[in-house]
Amino acid sequence: MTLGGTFVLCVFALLLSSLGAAFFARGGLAAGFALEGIMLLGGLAGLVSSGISWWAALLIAGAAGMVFSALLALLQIHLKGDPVIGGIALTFLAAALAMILARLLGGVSYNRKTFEWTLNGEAVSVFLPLALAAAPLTWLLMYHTRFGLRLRLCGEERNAAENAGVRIQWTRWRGALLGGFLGGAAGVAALIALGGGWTLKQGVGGMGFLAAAAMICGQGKPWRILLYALMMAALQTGALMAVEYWPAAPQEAFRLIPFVLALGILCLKCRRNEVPGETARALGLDD
Amino acid sequence: MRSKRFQRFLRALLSAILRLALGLALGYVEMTLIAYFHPAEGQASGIVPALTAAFEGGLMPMLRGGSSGFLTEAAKAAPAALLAIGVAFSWRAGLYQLGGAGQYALGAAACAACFTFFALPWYACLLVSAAAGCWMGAVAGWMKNRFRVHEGLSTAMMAWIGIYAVGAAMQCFSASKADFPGIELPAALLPAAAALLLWLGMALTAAGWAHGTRGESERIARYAGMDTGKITVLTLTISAALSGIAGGLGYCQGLLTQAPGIKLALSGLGAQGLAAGMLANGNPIGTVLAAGLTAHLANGANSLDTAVFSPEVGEWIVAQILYLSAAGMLTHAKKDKGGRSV
Repeated sequence: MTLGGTFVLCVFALLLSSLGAAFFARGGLAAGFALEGIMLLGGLAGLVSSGISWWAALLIAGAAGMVFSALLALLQIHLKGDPVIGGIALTFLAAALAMILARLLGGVSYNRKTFEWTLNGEAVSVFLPLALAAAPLTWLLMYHTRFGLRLRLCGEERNAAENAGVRIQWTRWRGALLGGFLGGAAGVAALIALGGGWTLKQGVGGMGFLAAAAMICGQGKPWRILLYALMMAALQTGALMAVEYWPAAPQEAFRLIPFVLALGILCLKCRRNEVPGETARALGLDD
Repeated sequence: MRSKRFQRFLRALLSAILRLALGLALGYVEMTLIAYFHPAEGQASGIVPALTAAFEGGLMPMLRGGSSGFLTEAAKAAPAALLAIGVAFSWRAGLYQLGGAGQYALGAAACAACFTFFALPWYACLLVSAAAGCWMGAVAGWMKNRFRVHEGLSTAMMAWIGIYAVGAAMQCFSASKADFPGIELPAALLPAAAALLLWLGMALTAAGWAHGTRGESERIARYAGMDTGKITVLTLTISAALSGIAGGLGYCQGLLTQAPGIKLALSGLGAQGLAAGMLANGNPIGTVLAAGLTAHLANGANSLDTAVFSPEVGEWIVAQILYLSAAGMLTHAKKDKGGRSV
């Protein structure tokens, strides 16, 4: 795997899942702890169906992510559930379910070439244009559509939303399903990036938490999330590829570096809270 | 019998039973689905054979559990129980300590190092395990106080740091298999002792009162003049130390057949621990009992009919119980957020 290829995969994985988490958070729900699970199951579904075509795989992955995020949304919107415990429960659920499904399906095999186009003799990853388009599209959706405005209203000024006649539950559900779709699609890239020897029980190697950190540092704002997701993706790429440049060193030692640096970035960015209301609580930044 | 305390206890107990029963019932339905779509060889197809297969090959083995004696089962469940107590203790203070997996790995690695390189006795090894785990909680608490970083996120990320660190260490060093004859009795008693100590502390000391108050409302605790920052750091440290000891116990009893590390990242122990803590509504003594139950279920899953079901079904069901526990409407919520519909 090339450096550039891995970087594109990591950017897609982290950017899309953090944008998905942003759709949760701007609506007032918290998805940070379930991201691992959503990515894992979406990735599994996508890889299993990658035999059809790349876009079908991504669609199916997104659908699987939507199903899982529906569970999270159900918990938070209707069952008055605790997002942290519920999210962690869904992550454990996803890990066990992934193993069970993988066993039922007799293993997961996919061809990486499915997700690559050939342009002028060079292999270009399918994820590249999608990753490039993700942040601008999210920004447009969130700030220039009625749905985005209402979603943000639900999260930030809930009483104003009620007064304006916004259907809060339905809006939050739509945000959650969209977030789940993005997270599921992101999982495909995550699993490809992690490589063939990866056991599904290990989730997506903690990338869900990196995405959650990117979302929190970005305060749920698309362009800032892009910045932090790029940072995290660069770190993760370094961690994944380091084994090729230093084969003698233990590979897993590099994998912890993104987390250390992500914690540092979190420390720097969590002190100020720029988004009011329930979104702040969803970001874990309320006081 | 009509006292408020007893009513609250009864409500908590009933909701725990409800969650358990619902989780098992859901699990049975899912096992039936698996048996229906993926029957074993020689099994007739159809709904009724699937129901029977799921019952005899799935549900009953799980409920029956392992075939070892009580002491052995208690000792084997001790790591999960200690993890559970740690998580429950910090949950009671309103803090989410989700780094159990990483602290477990570090504790096991520290214990292994002590035994392999220094040949220390078991209690010294466990103390080192506690130290190996507790720094995570301290750092997470400090980050929460100083930088307002959500402790759940920071502990979860530090867990991955710990897991990868131990994985890397295991690639450089190798540890000998633990040999601590007679460890079963202390292992079986340790969770109960820890739970008792914590419960007494929570019930009888001022610090314990502050700890519980912070769980009910952090704002009110601060308004009342309690040092919530110190409570945060201490609670998370104790919780992480307990998880470290859990890892050490796991190593001492030889429960870790592979290198403690990445394999444990999303292992059932974390789910069992959290589920037990939630079932008991955070009460330490109840948590030990609930942990025994969830460990029993998860270990029972090892004796499932492997032709049809994979052993992860046990973890799946425990995770479902955890999910149901998170649903406020089914729980006796420790923190009542005013009942406003979302």
